[in-house]
Amino acid sequence: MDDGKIIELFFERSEQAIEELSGKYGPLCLRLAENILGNGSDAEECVNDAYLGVWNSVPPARPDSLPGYVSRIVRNLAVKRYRSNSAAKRNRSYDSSLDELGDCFPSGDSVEDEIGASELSRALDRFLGGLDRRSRIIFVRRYWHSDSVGDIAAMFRTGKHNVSVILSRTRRKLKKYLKEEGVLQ
Amino acid sequence: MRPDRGEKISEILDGISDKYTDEAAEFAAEKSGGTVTAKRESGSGHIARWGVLAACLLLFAVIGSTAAAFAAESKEYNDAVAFFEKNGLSVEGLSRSDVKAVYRDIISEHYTYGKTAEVLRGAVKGTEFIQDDPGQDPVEPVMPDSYWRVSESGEFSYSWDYRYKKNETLGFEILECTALECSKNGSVLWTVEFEGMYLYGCSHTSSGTAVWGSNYRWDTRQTYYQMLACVSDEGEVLWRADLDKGIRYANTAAVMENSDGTWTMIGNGDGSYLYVSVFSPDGEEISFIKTDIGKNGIRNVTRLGDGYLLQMASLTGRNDVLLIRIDRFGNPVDSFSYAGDDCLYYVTDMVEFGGKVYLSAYSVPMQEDEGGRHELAAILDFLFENPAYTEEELVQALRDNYTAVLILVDPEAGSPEAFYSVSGSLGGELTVTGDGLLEWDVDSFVSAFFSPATSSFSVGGTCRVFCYSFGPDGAFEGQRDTGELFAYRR
Repeated sequence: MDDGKIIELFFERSEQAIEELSGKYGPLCLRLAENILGNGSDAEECVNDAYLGVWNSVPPARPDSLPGYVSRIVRNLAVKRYRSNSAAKRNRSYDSSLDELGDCFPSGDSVEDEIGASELSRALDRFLGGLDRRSRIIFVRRYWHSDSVGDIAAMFRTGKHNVSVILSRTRRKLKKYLKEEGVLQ
Repeated sequence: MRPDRGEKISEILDGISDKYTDEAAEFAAEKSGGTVTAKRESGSGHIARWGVLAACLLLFAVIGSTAAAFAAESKEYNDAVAFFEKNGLSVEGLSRSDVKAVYRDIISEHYTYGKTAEVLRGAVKGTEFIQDDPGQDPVEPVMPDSYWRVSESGEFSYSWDYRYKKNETLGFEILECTALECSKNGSVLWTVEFEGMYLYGCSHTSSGTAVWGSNYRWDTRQTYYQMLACVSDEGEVLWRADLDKGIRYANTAAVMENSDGTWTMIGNGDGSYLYVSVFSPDGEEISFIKTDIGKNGIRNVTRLGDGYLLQMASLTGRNDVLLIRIDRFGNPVDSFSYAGDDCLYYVTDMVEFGGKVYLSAYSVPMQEDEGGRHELAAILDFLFENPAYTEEELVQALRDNYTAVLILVDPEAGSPEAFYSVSGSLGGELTVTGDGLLEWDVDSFVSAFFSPATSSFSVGGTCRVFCYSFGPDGAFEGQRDTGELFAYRR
């Protein structure tokens, strides 16, 4: 079903809206939750909570991009749950995707740490705006959606090695950009 | 990483603009029809790579066609279906509203609706062959042909070597002759020496063997002659022509026989001219045409109807594929240019078969690096980032980098009609067999090595040669392992 029609169903308060949303974007949402939380019931619960979140927010919201909108809710819920999880429930693959970005942002041990996350987000946003579309999607899929390199390679129908090279170059460019912007020494 | 540090990075990522996260979410949804999966869909592995090209070509065909006002939904739908049929687009898998949305998207030239690209892409048939595993058996590195040059022409094969001798007056060696040997089915038919001729190539015709080359110069003030000779099947030189066309450096790409027995010699002069001479079977030059074609060399020539199709090789580093169609006298008729948006294509061979042109090629992912060696850039990155790489990993990196592609092109419109791909391989030679089959060689990597100290190449390896056969109607007949090995050097 067309996304516009699904949103109309939410506006009509039809429960079919949830079914259509789940049928169309359920696997996408579950993958995102699993990427952050690891496999398990946590991810499923998170996705169900996200559907409820969409139900409660549409209307009044009328999202321009339904997959983008529901993904944001899933990610917010998953990250929140992940932060509250005990160390035993840490998801190494999610941590490793954040690790990869470790070099690009201030270490937290110096005055640079005074730079707030929102300022760094704005700088990151400007950086993303200057990237070509392919590199930008690969970057966002890897670090925001926490996709594995293999999943991204399959999405772009290319090799894992090629995706790793693109990510590595983009991180180098980001580091250079943040230095030039004065947010990284 | 400390948990609080991870949290801070996560928080920074939270602030990424919606437009970028939407873009990435929609991309994933579009690619998977609502699901994200790591599995490759069989039979569609590389359609996307040609997708942009295919779409662009098709768009040229459809832009400017039907545009009407639509009052009733049913009328719009009927119009949309008619439009799809007229332009050979498939409605399979599309809902009624999808059909209308794609239709609107195309005629309004917006191309923003998610399914439009899918529909346009589907208009060109694509197939990914799943090849038998070439393995990584320990094989002896294959060495390329050494001193003797070799050329195949039907059942005849030719090999030649240059002989030099010291000129006492000059005090250094100059070319004495080229020794040419012709074999048929493995038996030597004849050997001929061409004094003072630097041989470039030869091919078999009904009048005998066409041999072409140039004179040997050691001083730029010396006149440059192109040379063409005819040798009978008994090894007698029937005639030899030394041609002064006012070209300083010429490179004859091919001499082809026409249906009336005349020969057409096609070559590139001074890096910017296409020259075409037509000769009678007894060596008389009937016509000569020289055309400025910019900084292009000629990589391949194939017959096309009563004329020829030339694959050009850019001398300025341009990466698209350029084909020029000429009539039998050398007058340019048409040209076609192809480029992918995320891949570079290298055409290795082309042939006319069943009235269509087949291009054998390989693709590599587009690189952002400026400068040369685009084809190898990802491999060199891999080597420098992984100094402790194993051979197995290098072979895998090569397989990830290359995809063999066979493209079927309509000779009139120049548009691709179908293509086939094989991952982890290079597209090799195309041969039309005596049985009327088209055979496509696909070279699959089985071993590799890095050779930074070699001047002529950086990465070498061995490929196992697989052969894919197609029937006279273009239908795929099967693949086989030829048991042959091919030396890869870049």
